[in-house]
Amino acid sequence: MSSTEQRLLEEAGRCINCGFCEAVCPTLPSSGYNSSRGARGRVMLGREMLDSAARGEGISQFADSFFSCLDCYACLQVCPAGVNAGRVSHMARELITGRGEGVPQLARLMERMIMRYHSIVPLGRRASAWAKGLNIPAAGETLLYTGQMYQLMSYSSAMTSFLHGRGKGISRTIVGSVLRLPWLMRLAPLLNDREIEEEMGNSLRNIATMLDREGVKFCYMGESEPYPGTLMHDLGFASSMKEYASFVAGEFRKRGARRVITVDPHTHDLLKNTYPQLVEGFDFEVVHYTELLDPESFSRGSDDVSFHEPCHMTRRFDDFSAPARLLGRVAEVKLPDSSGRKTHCCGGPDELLYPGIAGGVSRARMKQLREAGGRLTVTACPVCLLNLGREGEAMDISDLLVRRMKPGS
Amino acid sequence: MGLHEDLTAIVPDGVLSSREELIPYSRDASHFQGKLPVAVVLPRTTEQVSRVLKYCNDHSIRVVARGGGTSLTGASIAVDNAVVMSLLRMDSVLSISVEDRCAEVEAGVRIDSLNLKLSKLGQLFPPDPGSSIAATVGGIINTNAGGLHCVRYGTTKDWILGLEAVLMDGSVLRLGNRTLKSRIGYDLTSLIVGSEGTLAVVTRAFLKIVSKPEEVGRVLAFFMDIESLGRAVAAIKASGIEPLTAEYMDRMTMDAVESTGTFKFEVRAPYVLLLDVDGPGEAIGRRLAAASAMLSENGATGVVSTRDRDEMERLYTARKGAYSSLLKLRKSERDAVVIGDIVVPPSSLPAVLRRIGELVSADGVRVALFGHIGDGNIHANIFVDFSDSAETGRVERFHTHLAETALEHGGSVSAEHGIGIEKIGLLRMEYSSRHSEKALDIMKSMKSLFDPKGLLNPGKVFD
Ligand SMILES: Cc1cc2nc3c(=O)[nH]c(=O)nc-3n(C[C@H](O)[C@H](O)[C@H](O)COP(=O)(O)OP(=O)(O)OC[C@H]3O[C@@H](n4cnc5c(N)ncnc54)[C@H](O)[C@@H]3O)c2cc1C
Ligand code: SF4
Ligand code: SF4
Repeated sequence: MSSTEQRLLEEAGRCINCGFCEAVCPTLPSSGYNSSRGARGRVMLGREMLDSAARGEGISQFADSFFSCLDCYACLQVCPAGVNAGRVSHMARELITGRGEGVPQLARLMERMIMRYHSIVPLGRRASAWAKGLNIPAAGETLLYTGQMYQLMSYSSAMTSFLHGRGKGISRTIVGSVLRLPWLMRLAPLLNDREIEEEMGNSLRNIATMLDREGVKFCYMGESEPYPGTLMHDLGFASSMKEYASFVAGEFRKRGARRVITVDPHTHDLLKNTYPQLVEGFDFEVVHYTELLDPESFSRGSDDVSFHEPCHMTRRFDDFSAPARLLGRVAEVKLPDSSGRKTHCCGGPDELLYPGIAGGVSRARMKQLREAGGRLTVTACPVCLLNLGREGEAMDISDLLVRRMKPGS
Repeated sequence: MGLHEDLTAIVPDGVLSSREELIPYSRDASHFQGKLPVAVVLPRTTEQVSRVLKYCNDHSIRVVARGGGTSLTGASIAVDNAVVMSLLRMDSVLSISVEDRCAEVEAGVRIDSLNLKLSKLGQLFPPDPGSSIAATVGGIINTNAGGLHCVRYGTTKDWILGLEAVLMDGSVLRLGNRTLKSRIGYDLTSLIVGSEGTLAVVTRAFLKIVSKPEEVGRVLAFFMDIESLGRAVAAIKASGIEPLTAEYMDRMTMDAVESTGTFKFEVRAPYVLLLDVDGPGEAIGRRLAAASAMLSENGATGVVSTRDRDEMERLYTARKGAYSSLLKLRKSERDAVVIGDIVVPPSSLPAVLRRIGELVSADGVRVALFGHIGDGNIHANIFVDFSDSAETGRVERFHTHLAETALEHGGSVSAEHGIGIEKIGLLRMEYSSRHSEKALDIMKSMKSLFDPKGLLNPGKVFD
């Protein structure tokens, strides 16, 4: 038995089937209450998959259950036996990709793109368009690392529709060709949504402006900045991810970086919690930009907002309260019933492979945020912003903060 | 057409039939491994429920209704050649009337989500099983669940005003009413409560609701022996303090809870009592102090009280997860936990608990004890490796002795988890100890009136 199999067995073996996790798993209602797309079902199927593998049978039939998991860890918060169905799903995906059986074609495509182009979409100059005119140096001790997360959002919806064969004139043959010939994805920049591009670029400019006004000196790698590999990691391509993480760390070193400033929770989580396990000697100091902003630099406005706390912020760290503290400083903040460690995912991680489930999850979350009573939803993650933004008005925290930064700060 | 197509014609997008999709429905929270269902159907409306049941009746296909699948007795596991009907899609709270003290809800609503909605109106649906986060209205009705609030509010049956229930032949019955009183012939509502899915599929319910306690305070009292704990609870009740909950845990349970990191107990003692008192804001401090003093006078070696919401919630969550936490103490993953779920008159608790201690040693079993001590309900969680026949024999013996002890003290073999498949033998034992075997015959006859072909959840409650 491989070490991943052993860890999976250990994690799933502790489950006693109480069903608590199923009650909070966002993919269960969004899949029409199909238990194989819910937390308890995933844990049961994790054990079942190991049995099938041990009997020498195929395991591809289990893929949908695990690939549809959002890695949101809501399940872990309520499991009295401390089982994390998200981790079970992650390990199961690693086994599936490791055996190469039942891996969704789109997942393979993403792996190839990342390994070849260091991004999901080869963005070229568009990746750094937001920084035009800001004169940020290209090397230095402190690196502002966007990981292209904000930039990629403007391709996300159209790319998902395209890859699922939706939209005018998009036939299965075209999609099939892209899946077979990934270089065709170089044409993906054509799928850009200008409005979203502008919005996301603004957020990045706000972040850079606030850091600058706070006196933080930083550099930026520009268009050669690599994507952190988040999706490849999430999809379970363990060996490619190990290789890729070393490459990214090498790029940081080339710029002389000692400290890395992250701007989104996914990259922050990955660099803080996963990279050190993948890259030997990964000794960079990783900070989120909100941790460098002094609440005293901000003044209160009259905004009244519902705050959506991203899962990768509240559930992957013991205390990651900087964004909430800053927001509380500038606005009246309303929290939905599911908040703090019990926050509810935005559905984003399922957007590419299971857009139907992702849509259901974001609709459910937006309803909760509306019920919380804020006039506007604010979040601190581009993935959440995009997904919630489809269901109603949503704003990035940086856009609100920058408006409330005291002059002279 | 085949079964899948026929069911899909009734519930489009609501039928599962691949093996991977069916596997999760083969089990509930008990240690029983059920069969793989032939299909799972997820209706959204009463009409769909009715048409599916009629179809299955016409084709003699068995049906097992399922809510949260948290049964601890195997009540909701699939049986041979059965369609599982999951009610989870029927999850709407249809109306709440504070004036009428009534909520109308669909069967798939989970208890905690209902109470979240009610709490915004200052209301509460009192039944509060440890599994309330996942258990559904239909499920707790069909198991007549108890839980942490029983000492004050009784069990689920006390809170059901009326039901919409569908019979195997597809007929839809509307029983009881949304009013607090209704005397309309035999009380079929009450008959269905606790029937474990063997009589009808419940699709809707009128639930009685109450005002939420204004403020709650929580006391933890530690004891060196179980008799003093029992006496302390009796003293509290005799004093006129009406606790909202009165739960106890033994050392093994506390260790299990601590091992999950949910809660750390300040004092190390063999037993702990968790007591909630409530009242208006200005009185709660006084009531907490009075309860704490009384517990100290009655043998508690340490008493800690709190009104801190976070701490209270962590403690409540820890208690609610006690059973699952215990699973961490299994010697191996092959081990299961069989739960003895007896109830005795609270006045007999000290004697019964002493006797259980003796039985544990005499029968050579590993047992963790906790339960709703306020109403005399003891959960004896017995660890067993079913592949070890000697150990299985010892556990069965202990389980029987436990049930006999309950009967000797005027109690019952099953307090709240129901019969399922686990306690079929014990149910027979209880009626024969009362020389009332005929009661079981009457129950079977009633079942055949509701479900002449015996297709609804067969093999549960009686064989
Ligand atoms: C950790 C844990 C703690 C628990 N604590 C308690 C406790 O404190 N007190 C207590 O009483 N119980 C407790 N239980 C067990 C309790 O019986 C169940 O949790 C609950 O009542 C069942 O609800 P469910 O929705 O999960 O029903 P299920 O398990 O799905 O079903 C239970 C029974 O009801 C039937 N059923 C379900 N829905 C319908 C319907 N709509 N129509 C007809 N039949 C239906 C099923 O066929 C089955 O026979 C606990 C369980 C767990 C796992
Ligand atoms: S909450 Fe934990 S123990 Fe319960 S079913 Fe889920 S994983 Fe298993
Ligand atoms: S991580 Fe999230 S989506 Fe995955 S099983 Fe847990 S609760 Fe469900």
